[in-house]
Amino acid sequence: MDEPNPTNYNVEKRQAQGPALISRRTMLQGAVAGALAVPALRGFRAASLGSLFAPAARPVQATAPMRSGTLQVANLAEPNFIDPAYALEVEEFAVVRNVYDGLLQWNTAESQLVPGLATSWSSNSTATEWTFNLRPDVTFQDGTPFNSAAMKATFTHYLPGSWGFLLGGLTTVDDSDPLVLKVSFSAPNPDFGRNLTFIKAMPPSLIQAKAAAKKAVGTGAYQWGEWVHGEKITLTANSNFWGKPAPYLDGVDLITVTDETARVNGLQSGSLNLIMRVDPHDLPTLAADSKVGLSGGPSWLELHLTFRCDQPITSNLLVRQAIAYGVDRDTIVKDVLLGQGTVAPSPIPIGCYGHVTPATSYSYDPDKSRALLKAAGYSKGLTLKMGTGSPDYQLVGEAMTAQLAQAGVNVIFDVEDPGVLVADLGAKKPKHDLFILTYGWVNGGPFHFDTGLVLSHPEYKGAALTALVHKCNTTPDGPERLSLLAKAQELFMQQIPHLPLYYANNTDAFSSTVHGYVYPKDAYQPVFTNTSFS
Amino acid sequence: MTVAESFAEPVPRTSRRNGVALHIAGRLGAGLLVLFGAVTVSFVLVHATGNPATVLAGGSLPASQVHALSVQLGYNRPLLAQYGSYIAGVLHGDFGVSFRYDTPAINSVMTALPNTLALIAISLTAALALSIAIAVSSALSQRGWADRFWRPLVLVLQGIPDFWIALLLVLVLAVHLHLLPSLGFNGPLTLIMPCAALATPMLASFTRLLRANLLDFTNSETAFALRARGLTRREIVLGHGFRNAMATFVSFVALQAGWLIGGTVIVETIFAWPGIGSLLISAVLARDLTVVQAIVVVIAATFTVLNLLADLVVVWLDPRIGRPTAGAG
Repeated sequence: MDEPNPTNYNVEKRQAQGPALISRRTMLQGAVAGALAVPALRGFRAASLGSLFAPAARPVQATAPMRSGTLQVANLAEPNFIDPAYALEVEEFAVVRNVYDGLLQWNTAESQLVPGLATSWSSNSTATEWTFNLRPDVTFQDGTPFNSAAMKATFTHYLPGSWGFLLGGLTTVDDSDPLVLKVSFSAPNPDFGRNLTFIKAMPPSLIQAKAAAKKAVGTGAYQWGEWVHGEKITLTANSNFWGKPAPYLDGVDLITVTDETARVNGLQSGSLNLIMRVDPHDLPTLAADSKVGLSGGPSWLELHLTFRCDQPITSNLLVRQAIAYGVDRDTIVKDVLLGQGTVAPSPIPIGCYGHVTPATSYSYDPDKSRALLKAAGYSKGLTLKMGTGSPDYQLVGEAMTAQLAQAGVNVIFDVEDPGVLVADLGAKKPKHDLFILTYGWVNGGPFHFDTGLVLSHPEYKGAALTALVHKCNTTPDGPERLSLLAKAQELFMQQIPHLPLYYANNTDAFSSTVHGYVYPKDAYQPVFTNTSFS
Repeated sequence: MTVAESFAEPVPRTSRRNGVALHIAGRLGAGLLVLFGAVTVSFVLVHATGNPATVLAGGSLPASQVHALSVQLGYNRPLLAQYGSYIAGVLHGDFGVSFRYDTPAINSVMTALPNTLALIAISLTAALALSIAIAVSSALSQRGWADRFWRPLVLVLQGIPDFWIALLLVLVLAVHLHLLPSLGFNGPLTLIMPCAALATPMLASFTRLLRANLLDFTNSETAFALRARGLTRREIVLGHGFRNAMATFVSFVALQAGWLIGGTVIVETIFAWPGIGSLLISAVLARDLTVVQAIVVVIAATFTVLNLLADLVVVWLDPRIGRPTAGAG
């Protein structure tokens, strides 16, 4: 499937077509109109927003970007961890990605890896040894030098952390040459290059002081300002940044704004310059505002339905396939997400290394679903419990519940606390049979084949698929690996330990005076290096 | 006070002073009990499901980090030992360390508390000033034009929740008219909308209570007697009725202020206000339990102090408090 290119644009006012969708915003506007007797009600009809993302004629920036200004960015929540070894959420990476750098990074379109703190790199034929030539004359923001010793200290710091698994099988790190880093693994690590986009160089001084939880010190375009707990984190431009061009902005304020409506209001009122991960239901309002620009498109986030393959009912492949035929994914994308997604033909998102569209697919067919349930011994239907850990997916869950009811599957759906759901997912006797989860395939490759979660979450033990996934993880990039990945995805869709539902779009919005910002495909690492005010 | 009571013999000063001292001591004791209860309940709830370290950060930490935090925060010790340390720590203002900020939990609370107190102080002052003016005006012109105007308006205002007012203000004044910033705490302009949202429901409650008390007084025997002595309605309401109504009014205001300490959560969320409410929500979601405990205790302490202050004011206002009962020596 061809991947549409993401674009930046200022969307002109237009009317979307489709059934009316009344949001809280419109209800309040109606109340204002009624109270003030002013016909200010601005109804909108929302349906597919796909046309809003068609490349529009974008005004050419007549003047050079301003080299000043502080970007006011809404962070979705207060960060828990600003230490790169533990950062997990977009509000944390908003700091990490802009203060720290990795050896490798993505180009703007996130279609290929380009040099970061490493000017070049190579691996041996088995991907067990990697060599990086480091960028000279780079210093951390505390004045200490960036070199191979710093990377070795960084790897040591990462190992016990949340991202330590990226260094699984690490045997030696050769830092004898300060500008050459040699890393060896006990087993092939073909995704190491991609994974390095998530491993950020940290100064040994920060690691030794155990201060990485309190402040960020890296080599990035922005450096640490202050953290006003519960309010904001301020970053200032790094005048010694190694990259070109130097940052245009004076700084970035990451303001904690937990409420989606408050973020949208903040952008429209001018209190904010940029908000991330806009809800699809707020997009029509922002798209109709000439003072707001949008940057969005397909991401590497995959929403799916996990089956516990070790439990009596869902261990039966016929039941899993029946459920797959009973879910109308096209309708979910069109009507629940308002077109802000793509039906997922396989677990690996479009644009990630190795993605293919397998021949095995499941189009909505409730009759086929009933037939499969009958063959599985459930001619009278069955009742299953489904859970999700995020209220963001409540509408998706409710839509699936209604669809599966047509197919003879009675679903009891609830939204659980995320910690509770994760605990249930790993329980020997889980309360839920079906789990709506999201995987971020954040390294732009077969990330969750590497983590093993695609098999461990559903407790899938099928030998053929397990062996194939292992082979994919240990084969260097190239035609052989691509062939293995294609076979693995085909077998995966036949066995469906989880049913891929859709790849979510990621859309960020910003004031029309902001230029140079592009939404991150991994949906986690927003970059402000080339952002400026006009 | 009845007419008969107004002719009663004055109570000896020392007798009343002792009575007042006893009254205050009783209130102080009750306040300390409430505080102790809050501290204990906050400890019990955090430990109700086992080792709290397992739920930190929503369970997203690797096992090694969970263990390290468990040791650092003392969660691996026997429960009674933890409780003893916790009580000892609270007495010194030490609630433990926030795993997010790696700083004492109380620091974050003390950073956020003044922001919430600023909201409360300004909205409370505005609500008080307006409610007193409206209630007095209404009481002076009972069934007059002022009363007929304010009564239905106050009734409507009381039915509107603060978050609805907040959203309306943001839409009109910030999004459409661009008159005020919609969020954050950056100067006096950012105070206007959140304070207006908080003040409006309070204004309605205060006005209705004070007006009712004033009207009760103007219809009482005392007011009749004062009328007989030649005082005008204005003099009766402002000179006597007001003071009589203050005892109940002050207690109610203190209760509202105490409720506000923890009740600003929604307004703070809408305006991204960096106060105690926002901090509590983020600490709960992140399972930053030491911060949650610190906030719960600080809110309980503030509530207790406010009520104690209200009690002192009531004692000053109401000479009947501390008086020995009839028939006593």
